[in-house]
Amino acid sequence: MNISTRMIVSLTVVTVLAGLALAFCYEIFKDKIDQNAVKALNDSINEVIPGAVSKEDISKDDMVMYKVYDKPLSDDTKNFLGYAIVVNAGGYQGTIKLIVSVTPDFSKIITFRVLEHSETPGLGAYITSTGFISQFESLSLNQPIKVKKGVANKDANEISAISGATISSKAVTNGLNEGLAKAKILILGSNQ
Amino acid sequence: MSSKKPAIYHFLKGFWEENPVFVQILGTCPTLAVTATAVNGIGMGLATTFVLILSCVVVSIIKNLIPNEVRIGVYTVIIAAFVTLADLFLKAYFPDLSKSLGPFVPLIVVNCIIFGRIEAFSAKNNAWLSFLDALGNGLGFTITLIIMGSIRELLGKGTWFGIPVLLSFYKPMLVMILPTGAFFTYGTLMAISNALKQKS
Repeated sequence: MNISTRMIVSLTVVTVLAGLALAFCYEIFKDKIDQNAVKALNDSINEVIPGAVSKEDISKDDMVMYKVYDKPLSDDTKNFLGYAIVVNAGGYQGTIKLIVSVTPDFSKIITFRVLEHSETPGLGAYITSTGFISQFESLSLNQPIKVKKGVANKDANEISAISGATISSKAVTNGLNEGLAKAKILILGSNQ
Repeated sequence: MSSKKPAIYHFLKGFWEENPVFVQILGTCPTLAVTATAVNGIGMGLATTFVLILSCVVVSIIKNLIPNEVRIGVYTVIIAAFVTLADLFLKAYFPDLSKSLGPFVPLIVVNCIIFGRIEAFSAKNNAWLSFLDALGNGLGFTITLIIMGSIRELLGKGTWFGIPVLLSFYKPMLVMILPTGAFFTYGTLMAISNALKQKS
């Protein structure tokens, strides 16, 4: 065999074998990976809407949204607890992915959790702290949330920025404002 | 070179004498990037060790079948396959660790420890010695990452493996878990290791 044939044969054989081995392993791990994703989603919905038992997927136009109930979907006495909506915000270093819960009448934020972020540890990463998140709880959705440096007035729909991380604070707030405005139109229709 | 030294030497050299991080200065990117906590250090270290052992053994077995001209391409495919396998495994069984290591698991493909050991050792030695060499280097790398991760986590967060160990009056030095702290720790540890080596 001359050298170029040997080169082609050895590369082809190794690549095909590697491809086959990986396809085989992917099949083994796939179910477990999918289960993890589902579990992570259910856990995060439970965190933003305590007592959540079932959810109805109402995702539309690339917005991931759920209607969350306190009893299984088949149960007629179930109560509608609120919406859980996944919102992406442009952070200081990459996307911040949030899950927000909203009251059934879409008037107020219940709370939110950060699913993914790559903000600076020790500064912007405080967007995941309870202290920062609790500022958003029960803020109105009828007007945009504003970010203030220093003491904020909750009645005026304001939150105070994390000191040293104004960009991250604003990123979360803008993400919520824009994402929830879009979700509101999709869920309630544009006339509301 | 393999005939002159006992097999156990090839296993032990990775820990201290030829430590991949402090002596060969290989794999500095993951060393600096993922050692903000001790758990990340273990995860990254063991994932790298896994890929290192399998890639080195496979390469040492097939080394005579691969034409020299395409060896880099073939090695890359082999390494990439094992890295993808490790990545899938972490995603399936350790989703939290996988999330905190982020893109650094797929980046093991270009980790120069693996290429370095393959080119310097496995391509010239048999499978058993390659296995010992890879195991020693991998564990040496893992231990180094755990030490770096422990120091940075302890000083930067006041915790060790996520458990608070320093008393609450300790104000964590934020800089230690930022990239700057990684360079400080790396430099200091390398200076200590060099000083000890010069003495002996």
